[in-house]
Amino acid sequence: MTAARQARILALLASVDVGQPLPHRVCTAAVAALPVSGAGLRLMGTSGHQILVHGTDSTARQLEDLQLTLGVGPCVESVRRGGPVLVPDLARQSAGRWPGFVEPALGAGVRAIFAFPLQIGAIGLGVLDLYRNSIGGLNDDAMTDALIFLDVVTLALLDTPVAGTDGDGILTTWMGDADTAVHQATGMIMVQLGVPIDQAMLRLRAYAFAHDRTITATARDLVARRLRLEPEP
Amino acid sequence: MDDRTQLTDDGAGREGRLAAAFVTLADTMVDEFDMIDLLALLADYCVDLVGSTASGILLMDQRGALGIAAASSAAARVVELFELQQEQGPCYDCCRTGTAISEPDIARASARWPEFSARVAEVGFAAVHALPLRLRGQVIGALNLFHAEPGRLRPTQAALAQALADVATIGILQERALRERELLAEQLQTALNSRIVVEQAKGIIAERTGLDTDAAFTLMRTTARSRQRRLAEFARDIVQGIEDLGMQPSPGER
Repeated sequence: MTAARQARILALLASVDVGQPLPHRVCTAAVAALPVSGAGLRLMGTSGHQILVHGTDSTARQLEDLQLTLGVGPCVESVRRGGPVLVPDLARQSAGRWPGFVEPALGAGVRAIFAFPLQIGAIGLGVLDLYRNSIGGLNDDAMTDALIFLDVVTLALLDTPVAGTDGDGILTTWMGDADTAVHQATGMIMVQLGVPIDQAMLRLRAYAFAHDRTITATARDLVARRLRLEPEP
Repeated sequence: MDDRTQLTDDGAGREGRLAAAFVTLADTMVDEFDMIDLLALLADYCVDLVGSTASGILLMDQRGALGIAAASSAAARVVELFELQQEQGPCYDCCRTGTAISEPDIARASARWPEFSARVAEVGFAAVHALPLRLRGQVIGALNLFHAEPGRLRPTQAALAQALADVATIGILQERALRERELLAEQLQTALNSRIVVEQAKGIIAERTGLDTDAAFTLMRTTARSRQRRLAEFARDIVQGIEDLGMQPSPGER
């Protein structure tokens, strides 16, 4: 039974959006294979900094940006816990669980969220975010499919390192401007404010939040030198 | 818990012990387990349940090198070691061919395995039966049964020993697959981390020098190469504030 589902999911993953990078295809396949409206994939380094985000549509990307800006949310929690976070009815989440997240997410049309960490043993590679624009959980069938999908995706991602790195062992594949802007901007802030790198990330996040902008848009402005952070006098 | 004591003292009868043996072996595949413990258990089961005098296990590592993974007695270990060193004997042949090899009377096998049959007789074994540790086409070693009396293995004995071997093989292969995946995951994570730190360092250099991020990257890479540093490590030093490329700090940093 499981083998049949696995084969079906593998075939799906191989056939969708051929030619697009793997993270893109993972998200498209997730929406085709599972009863969800959209999907986002986030890959992360050990410091908890994400390096890559892909989303099937603007709503998925909004959700990812929102969680990155706030530093809280179902996928953030899923990574921290090392286990799935299932939210069949977002509107009924208590406000305290993810401050600042629920209202904007509902505003973006999201009604349910399911976050699954991409994990091999103790190593956390990132998270797969699935959302739905209607209320409801994943039934047993869908849950089984989701877990198998996760397995297949994790293994597919592992096939990358050798092919996708340069001679210095640095990941070169899958990257887009939006992914790198956040980290370049963090480095710039480190110099502009004279703070260590982790604080620089928090300051980037705080600036975006205070000015009601996404972290990605703020980062792009910094890199393009349309924006500069000044130290307090 | 001393599993070896359990095997002979629990009084549950042979069938009960047999069932317990399979449960224990299967359990090892579900939970984290110690490979050495598993194989030691397997060797003991062969003695207790199959009725051999002693048993040994040869296992191939991922590069194909054979080693002794378990032995139920010192005599068994002597024989296994001998076969490895001489590259001769039924257990060794079983590993190489992946088929069961049985010698019910070692005294008559001196033509087939000259040095081996002499050594085995010295330690008191009269029959040797080697069963492959194999899953479909993949052979990873051999389970070897040593008997003090000559004679063939009864079909039921052979079937039981092979079943025990099969269960252990699955466990070993699963554990190896998981370890391989963990290694790949570590490599991917390292590659991700390196990319993050290089992008951060680009931003730092760009801000300090006024260069755009592409030119900043070129500067970083050139400097790293001239100092024979690995790029990711060099970038990490920049981000940690250990390395400043001789650039002046900006007003914000003072």
